[in-house]
Amino acid sequence: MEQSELFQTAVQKAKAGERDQAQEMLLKLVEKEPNHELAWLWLSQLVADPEDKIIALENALTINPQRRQTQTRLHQLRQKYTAANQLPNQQFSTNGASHIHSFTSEEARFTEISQLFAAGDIAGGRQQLASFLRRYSDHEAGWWLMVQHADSQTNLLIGLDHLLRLNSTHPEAPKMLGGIKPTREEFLQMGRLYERLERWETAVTYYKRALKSPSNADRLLAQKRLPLVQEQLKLAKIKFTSPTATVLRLAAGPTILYAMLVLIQAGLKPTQASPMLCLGNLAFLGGMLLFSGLTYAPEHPWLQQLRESAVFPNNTFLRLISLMLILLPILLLILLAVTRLLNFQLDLTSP
Amino acid sequence: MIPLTDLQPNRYSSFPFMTMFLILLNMFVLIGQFLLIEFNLEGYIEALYLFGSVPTFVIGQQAGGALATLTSIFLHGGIFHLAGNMLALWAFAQRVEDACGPWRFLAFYLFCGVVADIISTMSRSTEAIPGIGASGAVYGIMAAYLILYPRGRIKVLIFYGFGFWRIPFRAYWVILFFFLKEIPNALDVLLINVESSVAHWAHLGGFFAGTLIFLFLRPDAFHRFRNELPL
Repeated sequence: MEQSELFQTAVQKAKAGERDQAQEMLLKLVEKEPNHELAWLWLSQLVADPEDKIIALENALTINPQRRQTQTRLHQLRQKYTAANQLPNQQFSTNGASHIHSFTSEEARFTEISQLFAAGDIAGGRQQLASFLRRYSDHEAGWWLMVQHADSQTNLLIGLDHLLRLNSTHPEAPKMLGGIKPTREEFLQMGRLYERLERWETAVTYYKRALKSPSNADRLLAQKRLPLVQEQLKLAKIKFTSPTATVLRLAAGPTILYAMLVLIQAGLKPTQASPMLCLGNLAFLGGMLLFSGLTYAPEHPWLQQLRESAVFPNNTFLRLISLMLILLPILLLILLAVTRLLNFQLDLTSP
Repeated sequence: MIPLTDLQPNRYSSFPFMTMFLILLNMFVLIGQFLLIEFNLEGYIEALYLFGSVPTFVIGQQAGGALATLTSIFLHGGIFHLAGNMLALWAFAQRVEDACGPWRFLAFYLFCGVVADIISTMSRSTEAIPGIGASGAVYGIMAAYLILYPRGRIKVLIFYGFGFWRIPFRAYWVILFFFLKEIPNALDVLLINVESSVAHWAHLGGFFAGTLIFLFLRPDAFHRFRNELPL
Protein backbone atom coordinates (compact mmCIF):
# COMPACT_ATOMS: atom_id res chain seq x y z
CA MET A 1 0.00 0.00 0.00
CA GLU A 2 1.28 3.43 -0.94
CA GLN A 3 1.97 5.93 1.85
CA SER A 4 -0.78 8.30 0.72
CA GLU A 5 -3.19 5.40 0.38
CA LEU A 6 -2.26 4.16 3.83
CA PHE A 7 -2.84 7.63 5.27
CA GLN A 8 -6.24 7.99 3.55
CA THR A 9 -7.37 4.58 4.82
CA ALA A 10 -6.22 5.41 8.35
CA VAL A 11 -8.13 8.67 8.29
CA GLN A 12 -11.28 6.95 7.02
CA LYS A 13 -11.01 4.35 9.77
CA ALA A 14 -10.50 7.04 12.35
CA LYS A 15 -13.58 8.87 11.14
CA ALA A 16 -15.54 5.62 11.20
CA GLY A 17 -14.63 5.16 14.84
CA GLU A 18 -12.13 2.33 14.37
CA ARG A 19 -9.52 4.14 16.38
CA ASP A 20 -7.22 1.24 17.22
CA GLN A 21 -6.83 0.16 13.61
CA ALA A 22 -6.33 3.74 12.49
CA GLN A 23 -3.66 4.27 15.13
CA GLU A 24 -1.84 1.10 14.11
CA MET A 25 -1.81 2.16 10.47
CA LEU A 26 -0.57 5.65 11.27
CA LEU A 27 2.22 4.27 13.42
CA LYS A 28 3.33 2.10 10.51
CA LEU A 29 3.19 5.18 8.31
CA VAL A 30 5.34 7.37 10.56
CA GLU A 31 7.80 4.53 10.92
CA LYS A 32 8.31 4.58 7.19
CA GLU A 33 7.91 8.32 6.73
CA PRO A 34 8.86 10.21 9.94
CA ASN A 35 8.29 13.61 8.30
CA HIS A 36 4.60 13.05 7.60
CA GLU A 37 3.17 15.98 9.52
CA LEU A 38 -0.52 15.10 9.07
CA ALA A 39 0.09 11.55 10.27
CA TRP A 40 1.54 12.91 13.50
CA LEU A 41 -1.37 15.27 13.89
CA TRP A 42 -3.90 12.48 13.45
CA LEU A 43 -1.89 10.30 15.82
CA SER A 44 -2.05 13.06 18.42
CA GLN A 45 -5.84 12.78 18.22
CA LEU A 46 -5.92 9.00 18.38
CA VAL A 47 -3.44 8.04 21.11
CA ALA A 48 -4.95 7.85 24.55
CA ASP A 49 -1.95 8.73 26.69
CA PRO A 50 -1.56 12.54 27.06
CA GLU A 51 2.23 12.17 27.11
CA ASP A 52 2.07 10.46 23.73
CA LYS A 53 -0.22 13.23 22.46
CA ILE A 54 2.37 15.82 23.45
CA ILE A 55 5.22 13.98 21.74
CA ALA A 56 3.18 13.49 18.57
CA LEU A 57 2.40 17.20 18.49
CA GLU A 58 6.03 18.12 19.16
CA ASN A 59 7.05 16.01 16.19
CA ALA A 60 4.42 17.62 14.01
CA LEU A 61 5.68 21.03 15.11
CA THR A 62 9.29 20.08 14.29
CA ILE A 63 8.20 19.25 10.76
CA ASN A 64 6.12 22.40 10.40
CA PRO A 65 6.92 25.01 13.06
CA GLN A 66 4.60 27.57 11.45
CA ARG A 67 1.31 25.75 11.99
CA ARG A 68 -0.51 27.79 14.60
CA GLN A 69 -3.11 25.20 15.56
CA THR A 70 -0.34 22.75 16.49
CA GLN A 71 1.41 25.37 18.59
CA THR A 72 -1.80 26.27 20.41
CA ARG A 73 -2.82 22.67 21.03
CA LEU A 74 0.67 21.78 22.30
CA HIS A 75 0.71 24.82 24.58
CA GLN A 76 -2.67 23.88 26.02
CA LEU A 77 -1.61 20.31 26.67
CA ARG A 78 1.64 21.37 28.31
CA GLN A 79 -0.14 23.80 30.57
CA LYS A 80 -2.62 21.12 31.59
CA TYR A 81 0.26 18.83 32.38
CA THR A 82 2.25 21.33 34.36
CA ALA A 83 -0.87 21.99 36.45
CA ALA A 84 -1.29 18.29 37.12
CA ASN A 85 2.45 17.88 37.91
CA GLN A 86 2.77 15.16 35.32
CA LEU A 87 5.75 15.92 33.21
CA PRO A 88 5.93 13.96 29.98
CA ASN A 89 9.37 12.56 30.27
CA GLN A 90 8.76 8.92 29.40
CA GLN A 91 9.38 7.13 26.17
CA PHE A 92 6.56 7.02 23.63
CA SER A 93 4.60 3.98 24.65
CA THR A 94 3.47 2.76 21.25
CA ASN A 95 5.38 0.30 19.13
CA GLY A 96 8.05 1.14 16.64
CA ALA A 97 8.62 4.72 17.67
CA SER A 98 12.33 4.77 18.34
CA HIS A 99 12.82 7.95 16.25
CA ILE A 100 10.25 9.88 18.22
CA HIS A 101 11.80 12.52 20.45
CA SER A 102 11.89 11.96 24.17
CA PHE A 103 13.70 13.46 27.15
CA THR A 104 16.84 11.48 26.35
CA SER A 105 16.91 12.55 22.74
CA GLU A 106 16.33 16.20 23.79
CA GLU A 107 19.48 16.16 25.88
CA ALA A 108 21.39 14.24 23.22
CA ARG A 109 20.38 16.83 20.65
CA PHE A 110 21.42 19.66 22.94
CA THR A 111 24.80 18.00 23.47
CA GLU A 112 25.24 17.79 19.71
CA ILE A 113 24.45 21.49 19.36
CA SER A 114 26.84 22.42 22.17
CA GLN A 115 29.53 20.41 20.42
CA LEU A 116 28.92 22.38 17.24
CA PHE A 117 29.61 25.62 19.12
CA ALA A 118 32.66 24.10 20.78
CA ALA A 119 33.97 23.06 17.38
CA GLY A 120 33.68 26.64 16.17
CA ASP A 121 30.68 26.19 13.86
CA ILE A 122 28.86 29.18 15.35
CA ALA A 123 26.49 29.84 12.42
CA GLY A 124 25.47 26.19 12.16
CA GLY A 125 25.15 25.94 15.92
CA ARG A 126 22.90 29.01 16.02
CA GLN A 127 20.64 27.59 13.32
CA GLN A 128 20.37 24.23 15.07
CA LEU A 129 19.86 25.90 18.42
CA ALA A 130 17.05 28.10 17.08
CA SER A 131 15.27 25.04 15.77
CA PHE A 132 15.89 23.20 19.05
CA LEU A 133 14.52 26.07 21.12
CA ARG A 134 11.43 26.34 18.97
CA ARG A 135 10.59 22.82 20.05
CA TYR A 136 11.96 22.87 23.60
CA SER A 137 11.08 26.40 24.58
CA ASP A 138 11.56 25.63 28.29
CA HIS A 139 15.16 24.45 27.96
CA GLU A 140 17.08 26.80 30.26
CA ALA A 141 20.56 25.68 29.24
CA GLY A 142 19.52 26.07 25.60
CA TRP A 143 18.51 29.69 26.14
CA TRP A 144 21.72 30.39 28.03
CA LEU A 145 23.68 29.00 25.07
CA MET A 146 21.62 31.29 22.82
CA VAL A 147 22.47 34.27 25.02
CA GLN A 148 26.15 33.45 24.93
CA HIS A 149 26.20 33.13 21.16
CA ALA A 150 23.60 35.69 20.13
CA ASP A 151 24.42 37.36 16.82
CA SER A 152 22.62 40.63 17.61
CA GLN A 153 21.55 42.65 20.63
CA THR A 154 17.87 41.98 19.76
CA ASN A 155 18.46 38.23 19.90
CA LEU A 156 20.47 38.65 23.07
CA LEU A 157 17.52 40.42 24.71
CA ILE A 158 15.08 37.76 23.50
CA GLY A 159 17.38 35.05 24.86
CA LEU A 160 17.71 36.82 28.21
CA ASP A 161 13.96 37.27 28.40
CA HIS A 162 13.39 33.53 28.00
CA LEU A 163 16.26 32.68 30.31
CA LEU A 164 14.91 34.89 33.10
CA ARG A 165 11.39 33.65 32.48
CA LEU A 166 12.68 30.16 33.30
CA ASN A 167 15.09 31.14 36.04
CA SER A 168 14.90 34.66 37.44
CA THR A 169 17.90 33.96 39.70
CA HIS A 170 20.29 32.87 36.95
CA PRO A 171 23.70 33.93 38.31
CA GLU A 172 25.21 35.12 35.01
CA ALA A 173 22.17 36.89 33.56
CA PRO A 174 22.52 40.15 35.57
CA LYS A 175 26.15 40.57 34.46
CA MET A 176 25.15 39.97 30.86
CA LEU A 177 22.28 42.43 31.21
CA GLY A 178 24.52 45.04 32.84
CA GLY A 179 26.80 45.03 29.78
CA ILE A 180 24.02 45.94 27.35
CA LYS A 181 23.77 49.46 25.97
CA PRO A 182 20.15 49.61 24.87
CA THR A 183 18.81 51.72 22.03
CA ARG A 184 15.65 53.83 22.44
CA GLU A 185 13.62 50.98 20.96
CA GLU A 186 14.92 48.56 23.57
CA PHE A 187 14.10 50.46 26.78
CA LEU A 188 10.80 48.64 27.23
CA GLN A 189 12.47 45.27 26.89
CA MET A 190 15.17 46.30 29.35
CA GLY A 191 12.50 47.35 31.84
CA ARG A 192 10.81 43.99 31.42
CA LEU A 193 14.10 42.14 32.00
CA TYR A 194 14.90 44.08 35.16
CA GLU A 195 11.34 43.43 36.29
CA ARG A 196 11.98 39.72 35.87
CA LEU A 197 15.11 40.15 38.00
CA GLU A 198 12.96 41.99 40.59
CA ARG A 199 15.27 45.01 40.36
CA TRP A 200 12.38 47.37 40.60
CA GLU A 201 14.27 50.66 40.68
CA THR A 202 16.16 49.94 37.45
CA ALA A 203 12.95 48.63 35.89
CA VAL A 204 11.22 51.90 36.79
CA THR A 205 14.07 53.87 35.19
CA TYR A 206 13.82 51.96 31.93
CA TYR A 207 10.02 52.10 31.85
CA LYS A 208 10.23 55.86 32.34
CA ARG A 209 12.64 56.07 29.42
CA ALA A 210 10.31 53.85 27.38
CA LEU A 211 7.57 56.44 27.87
CA LYS A 212 9.51 58.54 25.35
CA SER A 213 10.01 55.65 22.95
CA PRO A 214 9.27 56.31 19.24
CA SER A 215 6.99 53.25 19.21
CA ASN A 216 3.42 53.93 20.25
CA ALA A 217 2.97 50.34 21.48
CA ASP A 218 6.08 50.60 23.66
CA ARG A 219 4.83 53.83 25.21
CA LEU A 220 1.46 52.27 26.00
CA LEU A 221 3.00 49.15 27.50
CA ALA A 222 5.44 51.21 29.56
CA GLN A 223 2.52 53.32 30.84
CA LYS A 224 0.74 50.15 31.88
CA ARG A 225 3.72 48.49 33.59
CA LEU A 226 5.13 51.57 35.33
CA PRO A 227 2.53 51.93 38.13
CA LEU A 228 2.66 48.20 38.83
CA VAL A 229 6.44 48.22 39.18
CA GLN A 230 6.31 51.37 41.29
CA GLU A 231 3.88 49.56 43.58
CA GLN A 232 6.37 46.69 43.82
CA LEU A 233 9.07 49.22 44.67
CA LYS A 234 6.99 50.40 47.61
CA LEU A 235 6.27 46.85 48.74
CA ALA A 236 9.96 46.01 48.65
CA LYS A 237 10.50 48.70 51.30
CA ILE A 238 8.05 47.22 53.81
CA LYS A 239 9.51 47.06 57.29
CA PHE A 240 8.76 43.70 58.79
CA THR A 241 8.77 43.09 62.52
CA SER A 242 10.30 39.85 63.69
CA PRO A 243 8.16 37.65 65.99
CA THR A 244 10.81 38.08 68.72
CA ALA A 245 10.49 41.86 68.54
CA THR A 246 6.68 41.61 68.73
CA VAL A 247 6.84 39.35 71.77
CA LEU A 248 9.37 41.59 73.53
CA ARG A 249 7.40 44.74 72.67
CA LEU A 250 4.11 43.41 73.97
CA ALA A 251 5.68 42.04 77.13
CA ALA A 252 7.55 45.28 77.85
CA GLY A 253 4.55 47.60 78.43
CA PRO A 254 2.79 45.69 81.24
CA THR A 255 6.16 44.75 82.79
CA ILE A 256 7.15 48.42 83.04
CA LEU A 257 3.73 49.14 84.57
CA TYR A 258 4.35 46.47 87.21
CA ALA A 259 7.85 47.85 87.86
CA MET A 260 6.37 51.35 88.36
CA LEU A 261 3.91 50.00 90.91
CA VAL A 262 6.76 48.22 92.74
CA LEU A 263 8.67 51.52 92.72
CA ILE A 264 5.69 53.35 94.25
CA GLN A 265 5.33 50.60 96.85
CA ALA A 266 9.01 51.21 97.71
CA GLY A 267 8.41 54.96 98.24
CA LEU A 268 10.08 55.86 94.91
CA LYS A 269 13.37 54.49 96.28
CA PRO A 270 14.46 51.62 94.03
CA THR A 271 17.03 50.36 96.54
CA GLN A 272 14.31 49.83 99.11
CA ALA A 273 12.11 47.72 96.86
CA SER A 274 10.92 44.47 98.39
CA PRO A 275 13.01 41.50 97.11
CA MET A 276 9.80 39.52 96.84
CA LEU A 277 8.32 42.13 94.53
CA CYS A 278 11.54 42.27 92.48
CA LEU A 279 11.32 38.54 92.01
CA GLY A 280 7.65 39.02 91.24
CA ASN A 281 8.61 41.50 88.53
CA LEU A 282 10.91 38.94 86.93
CA ALA A 283 8.18 36.30 87.10
CA PHE A 284 5.74 38.80 85.62
CA LEU A 285 8.17 39.47 82.74
CA GLY A 286 8.53 35.73 82.13
CA GLY A 287 4.76 35.28 82.19
CA MET A 288 4.19 38.16 79.79
CA LEU A 289 6.85 36.86 77.38
CA LEU A 290 5.28 33.42 77.45
CA PHE A 291 1.75 34.74 77.08
CA SER A 292 2.63 37.12 74.23
CA GLY A 293 4.61 34.37 72.51
CA LEU A 294 1.75 31.88 72.76
CA THR A 295 -0.74 34.46 71.49
CA TYR A 296 1.23 36.13 68.70
CA ALA A 297 4.10 33.81 67.76
CA PRO A 298 3.09 30.25 68.69
CA GLU A 299 5.66 28.80 66.27
CA HIS A 300 8.55 30.78 67.80
CA PRO A 301 11.72 28.66 68.25
CA TRP A 302 11.82 29.45 72.00
CA LEU A 303 8.36 27.99 72.42
CA GLN A 304 9.23 25.01 70.22
CA GLN A 305 12.17 24.29 72.51
CA LEU A 306 9.92 24.52 75.56
CA ARG A 307 7.39 22.16 73.99
CA GLU A 308 10.11 19.66 73.11
CA SER A 309 11.13 19.44 76.76
CA ALA A 310 9.29 16.92 78.90
CA VAL A 311 8.38 19.58 81.49
CA PHE A 312 6.14 21.67 79.20
CA PRO A 313 4.27 19.17 77.08
CA ASN A 314 1.60 21.32 75.40
CA ASN A 315 0.21 24.79 74.76
CA THR A 316 -2.57 24.61 77.37
CA PHE A 317 -0.06 23.81 80.08
CA LEU A 318 2.23 26.61 78.92
CA ARG A 319 -0.67 29.06 78.86
CA LEU A 320 -1.64 28.08 82.41
CA ILE A 321 1.93 28.64 83.57
CA SER A 322 2.08 32.02 81.85
CA LEU A 323 -1.17 33.11 83.53
CA MET A 324 0.14 31.97 86.91
CA LEU A 325 3.38 33.85 86.38
CA ILE A 326 1.37 37.00 85.58
CA LEU A 327 -1.33 36.72 88.23
CA LEU A 328 0.76 35.61 91.23
CA PRO A 329 3.00 38.72 91.26
CA ILE A 330 -0.12 40.91 90.90
CA LEU A 331 -1.74 39.15 93.84
CA LEU A 332 1.47 39.49 95.84
CA LEU A 333 1.60 43.24 95.15
CA ILE A 334 -2.07 43.69 96.10
CA LEU A 335 -1.56 41.61 99.24
CA LEU A 336 1.42 43.68 100.38
CA ALA A 337 -0.38 46.96 99.59
CA VAL A 338 -3.58 45.91 101.38
CA THR A 339 -1.63 44.67 104.42
CA ARG A 340 0.16 47.99 104.66
CA LEU A 341 -3.10 49.87 104.23
CA LEU A 342 -4.80 47.85 107.00
CA ASN A 343 -1.89 48.45 109.35
CA PHE A 344 -1.92 52.19 108.66
CA GLN A 345 -3.47 54.53 111.24
CA LEU A 346 -4.70 57.69 109.59
CA ASP A 347 -4.35 60.76 111.81
CA LEU A 348 -6.13 63.72 110.25
CA THR A 349 -5.53 65.93 113.28
CA SER A 350 -1.75 66.11 112.83
CA PRO A 351 -0.46 68.92 110.55
CA MET B 1 -12.37 74.29 74.68
CA ILE B 2 -13.92 70.89 75.48
CA PRO B 3 -13.34 67.89 73.21
CA LEU B 4 -16.65 66.14 72.47
CA THR B 5 -16.11 63.27 70.10
CA ASP B 6 -13.96 61.73 67.41
CA LEU B 7 -15.39 62.11 63.92
CA GLN B 8 -13.52 59.24 62.32
CA PRO B 9 -14.37 55.54 62.35
CA ASN B 10 -12.59 52.60 63.95
CA ARG B 11 -10.68 50.08 61.86
CA TYR B 12 -10.42 46.93 63.96
CA SER B 13 -13.35 46.90 66.36
CA SER B 14 -16.90 48.18 66.20
CA PHE B 15 -17.32 49.53 69.73
CA PRO B 16 -14.84 50.77 72.39
CA PHE B 17 -16.01 48.51 75.23
CA MET B 18 -13.11 49.24 77.58
CA THR B 19 -13.45 53.01 77.12
CA MET B 20 -17.14 52.78 77.92
CA PHE B 21 -16.40 50.53 80.90
CA LEU B 22 -13.85 53.02 82.28
CA ILE B 23 -16.30 55.92 81.87
CA LEU B 24 -19.07 54.01 83.65
CA LEU B 25 -16.69 52.89 86.41
CA ASN B 26 -15.57 56.47 87.02
CA MET B 27 -19.21 57.59 87.11
CA PHE B 28 -20.20 54.90 89.62
CA VAL B 29 -17.23 55.76 91.82
CA LEU B 30 -18.26 59.42 91.81
CA ILE B 31 -21.82 58.45 92.74
CA GLY B 32 -20.32 56.41 95.61
CA GLN B 33 -18.29 59.45 96.66
CA PHE B 34 -21.45 61.63 96.68
CA LEU B 35 -23.30 59.06 98.78
CA LEU B 36 -20.41 58.95 101.23
CA ILE B 37 -20.35 62.76 101.46
CA GLU B 38 -24.08 62.73 102.11
CA PHE B 39 -24.06 60.10 104.83
CA ASN B 40 -20.54 60.08 106.28
CA LEU B 41 -18.41 63.14 105.54
CA GLU B 42 -15.59 62.07 107.86
CA GLY B 43 -15.52 58.66 106.25
CA TYR B 44 -15.32 60.34 102.84
CA ILE B 45 -12.33 62.47 103.84
CA GLU B 46 -10.64 59.44 105.33
CA ALA B 47 -11.28 57.46 102.11
CA LEU B 48 -9.87 60.32 100.09
CA TYR B 49 -6.59 60.12 102.04
CA LEU B 50 -6.44 56.34 101.96
CA PHE B 51 -7.40 55.82 98.29
CA GLY B 52 -6.06 59.07 96.85
CA SER B 53 -2.37 59.49 96.14
CA VAL B 54 -0.79 61.42 99.03
CA PRO B 55 2.88 62.28 98.24
CA THR B 56 4.06 62.15 101.88
CA PHE B 57 2.46 58.73 102.31
CA VAL B 58 4.01 57.43 99.12
CA ILE B 59 7.50 58.71 99.98
CA GLY B 60 7.15 57.51 103.60
CA GLN B 61 6.00 54.05 102.46
CA GLN B 62 2.76 54.44 104.32
CA ALA B 63 -0.85 53.54 103.53
CA GLY B 64 -1.83 51.79 100.30
CA GLY B 65 1.19 52.70 98.14
CA ALA B 66 0.69 51.08 94.72
CA LEU B 67 -2.94 50.32 95.51
CA ALA B 68 -3.68 53.96 96.32
CA THR B 69 -2.02 55.05 93.09
CA LEU B 70 -4.34 52.81 91.12
CA THR B 71 -7.48 53.78 93.04
CA SER B 72 -6.68 57.50 92.81
CA ILE B 73 -7.06 57.27 89.02
CA PHE B 74 -10.76 56.46 89.49
CA LEU B 75 -11.57 59.18 92.07
CA HIS B 76 -12.80 62.63 91.06
CA GLY B 77 -13.43 65.90 92.87
CA GLY B 78 -16.86 66.65 91.41
CA ILE B 79 -19.10 66.49 88.37
CA PHE B 80 -17.16 69.04 86.32
CA HIS B 81 -13.85 67.34 87.09
CA LEU B 82 -15.31 64.01 85.98
CA ALA B 83 -17.12 65.44 82.94
CA GLY B 84 -13.99 67.19 81.64
CA ASN B 85 -11.93 64.03 81.94
CA MET B 86 -14.56 61.65 80.61
CA LEU B 87 -15.45 63.80 77.59
CA ALA B 88 -11.78 63.91 76.65
CA LEU B 89 -11.49 60.19 77.29
CA TRP B 90 -14.49 59.49 75.04
CA ALA B 91 -13.15 61.74 72.29
CA PHE B 92 -9.61 60.37 72.18
CA ALA B 93 -9.74 56.87 73.61
CA GLN B 94 -12.05 55.23 71.07
CA ARG B 95 -9.49 54.92 68.31
CA VAL B 96 -6.57 54.37 70.68
CA GLU B 97 -8.45 51.40 72.14
CA ASP B 98 -9.16 50.29 68.59
CA ALA B 99 -5.44 50.25 67.80
CA CYS B 100 -4.51 48.45 71.03
CA GLY B 101 -7.35 46.06 71.78
CA PRO B 102 -9.32 46.40 75.05
CA TRP B 103 -6.94 44.70 77.49
CA ARG B 104 -3.75 46.30 76.23
CA PHE B 105 -5.64 49.61 76.22
CA LEU B 106 -6.55 49.10 79.89
CA ALA B 107 -2.88 48.40 80.67
CA PHE B 108 -1.89 51.53 78.74
CA TYR B 109 -4.49 53.64 80.57
CA LEU B 110 -3.21 52.45 83.95
CA PHE B 111 0.40 52.85 82.79
CA CYS B 112 -0.18 56.53 81.93
CA GLY B 113 -2.05 57.09 85.21
CA VAL B 114 0.74 55.50 87.25
CA VAL B 115 3.54 57.41 85.49
CA ALA B 116 1.53 60.63 85.91
CA ASP B 117 1.17 59.89 89.62
CA ILE B 118 4.90 59.23 90.03
CA ILE B 119 5.81 62.51 88.32
CA SER B 120 3.17 64.36 90.34
CA THR B 121 4.43 62.85 93.61
CA MET B 122 7.99 63.84 92.77
CA SER B 123 6.92 67.40 91.96
CA ARG B 124 5.13 67.92 95.31
CA SER B 125 6.87 65.38 97.53
CA THR B 126 6.35 67.35 100.77
CA GLU B 127 2.62 67.87 100.37
CA ALA B 128 0.03 65.83 102.25
CA ILE B 129 -2.86 66.61 99.92
CA PRO B 130 -4.43 63.63 98.14
CA GLY B 131 -4.13 63.70 94.36
CA ILE B 132 -7.10 62.29 92.52
CA GLY B 133 -8.39 62.10 88.96
CA ALA B 134 -7.94 60.41 85.64
CA SER B 135 -6.43 63.44 83.93
CA GLY B 136 -2.88 62.01 83.85
CA ALA B 137 -4.17 58.89 82.12
CA VAL B 138 -6.33 60.99 79.78
CA TYR B 139 -3.33 63.13 78.82
CA GLY B 140 -1.50 59.89 78.03
CA ILE B 141 -4.35 58.84 75.75
CA MET B 142 -4.18 62.25 74.07
CA ALA B 143 -0.45 61.86 73.45
CA ALA B 144 -1.09 58.43 71.96
CA TYR B 145 -3.79 59.90 69.72
CA LEU B 146 -1.42 62.61 68.58
CA ILE B 147 1.18 60.01 67.62
CA LEU B 148 -1.23 57.60 65.95
CA TYR B 149 -3.77 59.90 64.31
CA PRO B 150 -2.37 63.44 64.21
CA ARG B 151 -4.74 64.42 61.41
CA GLY B 152 -7.83 62.90 63.03
CA ARG B 153 -10.86 65.18 63.36
CA ILE B 154 -12.17 65.98 66.83
CA LYS B 155 -15.37 67.87 67.43
CA VAL B 156 -14.84 70.42 70.20
CA LEU B 157 -17.10 72.74 72.12
CA ILE B 158 -15.89 76.34 72.34
CA PHE B 159 -17.61 78.83 74.62
CA TYR B 160 -17.86 82.52 73.76
CA GLY B 161 -19.80 85.12 75.70
CA PHE B 162 -23.19 83.55 76.27
CA GLY B 163 -23.07 80.97 73.51
CA PHE B 164 -20.94 78.14 72.19
CA TRP B 165 -19.71 76.64 68.93
CA ARG B 166 -19.32 72.96 68.05
CA ILE B 167 -16.47 72.83 65.54
CA PRO B 168 -14.38 69.96 64.14
CA PHE B 169 -10.65 70.54 64.55
CA ARG B 170 -7.61 68.58 63.49
CA ALA B 171 -6.45 66.49 66.46
CA TYR B 172 -3.00 68.08 66.58
CA TRP B 173 -4.47 71.54 67.22
CA VAL B 174 -6.65 70.31 70.08
CA ILE B 175 -3.96 68.17 71.71
CA LEU B 176 -1.19 70.72 71.33
CA PHE B 177 -3.49 73.30 72.89
CA PHE B 178 -4.03 71.12 75.96
CA PHE B 179 -0.33 70.20 76.14
CA LEU B 180 1.07 73.70 75.70
CA LYS B 181 -1.28 75.31 78.21
CA GLU B 182 0.15 72.99 80.88
CA ILE B 183 3.77 74.02 80.40
CA PRO B 184 3.72 77.55 81.95
CA ASN B 185 1.56 76.32 84.84
CA ALA B 186 3.88 73.40 85.52
CA LEU B 187 6.91 75.72 85.41
CA ASP B 188 5.21 78.07 87.87
CA VAL B 189 4.69 75.18 90.30
CA LEU B 190 8.27 74.05 89.93
CA LEU B 191 10.11 77.37 89.91
CA ILE B 192 8.10 79.74 92.06
CA ASN B 193 6.09 77.27 94.13
CA VAL B 194 2.73 78.55 92.97
CA GLU B 195 0.00 76.63 94.77
CA SER B 196 -2.43 75.01 92.37
CA SER B 197 -5.37 72.68 92.83
CA VAL B 198 -4.60 71.18 89.40
CA ALA B 199 -1.82 68.58 89.10
CA HIS B 200 -0.07 70.09 86.08
CA TRP B 201 2.96 67.82 86.43
CA ALA B 202 0.67 64.79 86.46
CA HIS B 203 -0.75 65.98 83.16
CA LEU B 204 2.71 66.38 81.64
CA GLY B 205 3.86 63.05 83.14
CA GLY B 206 0.83 61.30 81.64
CA PHE B 207 1.50 62.97 78.31
CA PHE B 208 5.10 61.75 78.23
CA ALA B 209 4.01 58.25 79.28
CA GLY B 210 1.56 58.29 76.36
CA THR B 211 4.46 58.51 73.91
CA LEU B 212 5.19 54.87 74.75
CA ILE B 213 1.93 53.82 73.08
CA PHE B 214 3.84 51.62 70.61
CA LEU B 215 4.52 49.17 73.47
CA PHE B 216 0.79 48.49 73.65
CA LEU B 217 -0.29 48.49 69.99
CA ARG B 218 -1.73 45.33 68.53
CA PRO B 219 0.71 43.70 66.06
CA ASP B 220 -1.24 44.59 62.89
CA ALA B 221 -1.68 48.20 64.00
CA PHE B 222 2.02 48.40 64.90
CA HIS B 223 2.90 47.08 61.42
CA ARG B 224 0.74 49.73 59.77
CA PHE B 225 2.18 52.42 62.04
CA ARG B 226 5.77 51.47 61.13
CA ASN B 227 5.00 51.41 57.44
CA GLU B 228 3.16 54.72 57.50
CA LEU B 229 -0.08 53.14 56.36
CA PRO B 230 -3.42 54.48 57.58
CA LEU B 231 -4.16 52.97 60.98
